[in-house]
Amino acid sequence: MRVSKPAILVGLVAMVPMAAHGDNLTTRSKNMYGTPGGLIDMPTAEMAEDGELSTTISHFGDTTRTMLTFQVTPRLTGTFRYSSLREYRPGRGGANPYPNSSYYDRSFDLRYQVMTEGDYHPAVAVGLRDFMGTGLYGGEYVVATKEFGSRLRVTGGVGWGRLGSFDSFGSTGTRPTGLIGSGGIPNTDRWFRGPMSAFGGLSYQATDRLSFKAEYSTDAYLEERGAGQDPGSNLFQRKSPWNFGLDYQVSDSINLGAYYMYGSEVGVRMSIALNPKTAPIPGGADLAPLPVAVRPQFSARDLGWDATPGARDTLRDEVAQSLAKEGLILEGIEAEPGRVRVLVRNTRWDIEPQAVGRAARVLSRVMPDSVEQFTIGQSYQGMPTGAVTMRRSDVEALENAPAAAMLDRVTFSGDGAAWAGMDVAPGNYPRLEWSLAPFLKLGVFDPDSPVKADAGLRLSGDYHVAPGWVLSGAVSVKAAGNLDAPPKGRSGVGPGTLPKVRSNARFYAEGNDPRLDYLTVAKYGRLGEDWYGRMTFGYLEQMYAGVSGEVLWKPVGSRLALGAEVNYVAQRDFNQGFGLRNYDIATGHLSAYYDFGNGFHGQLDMGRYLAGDWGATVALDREFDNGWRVGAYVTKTNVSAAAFGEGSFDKGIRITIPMSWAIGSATRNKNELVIQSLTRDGGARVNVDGRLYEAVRDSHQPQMAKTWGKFWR
Amino acid sequence: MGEILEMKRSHVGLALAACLALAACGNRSGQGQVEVLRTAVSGMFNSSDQGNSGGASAEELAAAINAALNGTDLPLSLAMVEARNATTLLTRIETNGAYGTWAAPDRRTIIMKDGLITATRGLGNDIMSSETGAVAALVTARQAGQAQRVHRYLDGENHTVEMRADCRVTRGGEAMVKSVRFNAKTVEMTESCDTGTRRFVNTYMVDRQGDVVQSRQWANPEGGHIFIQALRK
Repeated sequence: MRVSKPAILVGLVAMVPMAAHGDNLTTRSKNMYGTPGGLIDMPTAEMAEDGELSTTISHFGDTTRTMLTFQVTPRLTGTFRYSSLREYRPGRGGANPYPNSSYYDRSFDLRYQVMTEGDYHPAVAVGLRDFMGTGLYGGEYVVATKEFGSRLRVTGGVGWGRLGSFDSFGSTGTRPTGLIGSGGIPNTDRWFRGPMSAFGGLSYQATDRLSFKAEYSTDAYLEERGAGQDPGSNLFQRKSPWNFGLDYQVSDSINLGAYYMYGSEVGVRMSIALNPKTAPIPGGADLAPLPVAVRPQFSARDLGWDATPGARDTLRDEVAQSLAKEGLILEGIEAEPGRVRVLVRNTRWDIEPQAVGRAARVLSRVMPDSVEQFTIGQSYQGMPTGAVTMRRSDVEALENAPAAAMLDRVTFSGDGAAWAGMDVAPGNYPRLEWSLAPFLKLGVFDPDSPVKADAGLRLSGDYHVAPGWVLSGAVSVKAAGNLDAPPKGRSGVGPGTLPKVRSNARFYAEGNDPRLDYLTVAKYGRLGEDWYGRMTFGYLEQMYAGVSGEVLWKPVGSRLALGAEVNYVAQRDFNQGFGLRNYDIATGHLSAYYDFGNGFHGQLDMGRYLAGDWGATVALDREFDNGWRVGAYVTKTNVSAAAFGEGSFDKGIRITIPMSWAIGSATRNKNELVIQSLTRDGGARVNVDGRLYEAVRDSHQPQMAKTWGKFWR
Repeated sequence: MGEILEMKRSHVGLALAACLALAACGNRSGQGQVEVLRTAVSGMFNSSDQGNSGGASAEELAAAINAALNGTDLPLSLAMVEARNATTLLTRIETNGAYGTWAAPDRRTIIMKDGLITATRGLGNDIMSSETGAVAALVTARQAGQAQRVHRYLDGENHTVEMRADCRVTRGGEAMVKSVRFNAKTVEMTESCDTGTRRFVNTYMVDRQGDVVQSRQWANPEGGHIFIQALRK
């Protein structure tokens, strides 16, 4: 039987309109590939709960896979996989570029539920396995799952690639072969091509925690059994296409699986899942705010308070002290008989409306009765960003009302010039902030080894000379680590032909001498009502020194921001002293940032990269309003894949975890995890500290409105 | 001299050792994960301390209550968050119209209007605001009837979510409430609420003036009920 690809696509598209209503058919089970699904090695059309993030480790037949899966939308799943195949050596017998005892492979999957489940039709999903990696796990499928009753789910599907490698019933054209290349490009020429097979299985939810499953697998495991790139591989015996097993939901987050696979092997799996939408302590466990103080009715309109000698200083000190108890540092104040403007530095609250709400409560208790208007502005590196203006009467009247009522009454402003006349609060300038702390620098999921790291001690400091002027420096000493290990295997293969702007990384990690991480002087300032600026000069980062300038346009109510950055940098000596190497370049980008308003945020950067290559970076993040972010980015420049080396172009996934979410009380600390392609020379950018967008955006209306409920918290 | 130098050196050594042990030092606020963790851990210890105070002996509690009554003229109540088994004194530190903010010494607050909890702060999964007027009207009038109440909470993403409940208020028997400072002749009012997915019951002991002198009120799914007894109106 021959079915053309267009016919299948038409068939799929025809099903889409039916998907308007129905059930996503969610499951807490994961399969051996880390994808949500109730079977074992085969996919299903089931989805995880929207937003769920899970890690899975599975092992069978000398293969261990570690997966990170994200339910991007209710109907879209993405999976990153890092696999280790013991004694698998592609190209065995020839010039062997894979000397390690294990072969490490990275792959990405995407799966979309084109049709949700209805009363009389199944949920249908289309999936791509390893769609842009080396193609080791390359396979595509269309799969349908239907629930019967509330316990039994039946799955049937058609697979190509690996999923069509056993018992195929037909073919759709010729599938290009060849496995290990430089990888990293979507293998569109292979998708839904070649032999195809019908797979299927069923899962039975015996109890709330326990489920049984059985499946018919159409993966012949040719690669693992010597019929692929490594003729000598023999990871396991495939004696049967039938797999059986069970999984057990240990707790809300942990799911375990055990299977008897291919008539010869036992497979095990552990998955840990969490959903960023649900917090351990919703609303947080922060201590109570101060109650609002209501002025007595017809209270003395004590308009004359500011005429008393010293009254302003006393008031300023009182405001500063009360704000400091809330983790807010008063940087400046402008008090008039009828209104007050305070500029604060937020050191505690990761959710800005909470900071503004606490400040409003403080002002209600401290300011003289005649002061009717509060303006609370936020400062970033001494530069005013966004401000919220409110009537004191509203603060008094709406303390116990729904937060939305207050949001309707406040106005947001981004006017930086308005702060020109403020009194700078004492103690702010100059000031030194410093810390001495251990550091851990990690490199994970490398094709050579799963984890590399350096550990040591770092002394860093910021000297705030005057508003907007910051002198920063850091010195570190490495205690131990292997980031400087010479490359073996693939990371040393095909480094490309570009100037070595990033691929010298290991030379920068050599030796245990103290090194200067950075030493800069930076100026932050407002360039107009919607304009922000930064200029940084000095040793900007580990590998580059020079000057970096940035301008950002971000109106206070806008979900769109535009930016421009220009850098002129020279490469630093490997020893990270004060010396420079003989490579200098001008780079720069035009950037557009857009908050889609539905939980997604996009960023586009276009310009010139460190190797002199021109191109663009596109990033898309799903943002949760508690600070969690899960996203991906790709950079493509005018460098050929061959010149770039393995990975073909720069791409990565990134996750931000707010610490406040984990511990339940407010802190601005967050953890960022980035999994990216090998460090190559194409599409590389300078790392400059203090880029403007995130800091400015947080204090602006679109971002604050999302979490305004925290104003009264 | 030598001894002083020796001491200085060992102090420097101690400071450095402390830095390393605590995994960070400096003057930056919230500078490291470790500091955050330490805060979290000390928070855990604190809350377990409160748990212990819940087990304080009756004499200790009575002594604390008397000291508080003598120490301030502000209205006082005794409260127990049942899920934590923690007993604490509440002082009404502020009013805003009919709303009163009642604070515990550990800086957690309960906001009440007409004796009904309208909000909490610092208990976790706090009621952010609520509509309890219709229920309060029945309870304080010691009348049976139907009424709706609304609670607003923050969810895991800091979005406001509303919980609406249909409640039936019934009038029970008379009972004496004995508090440290007064005895009150009250009627027991029971409020049975149903949100569609959850049911909870509040009880109020209401005196002749319509004041709630003792109550047991449901606050949130985790914290469960809060018991409150007026010590001084």
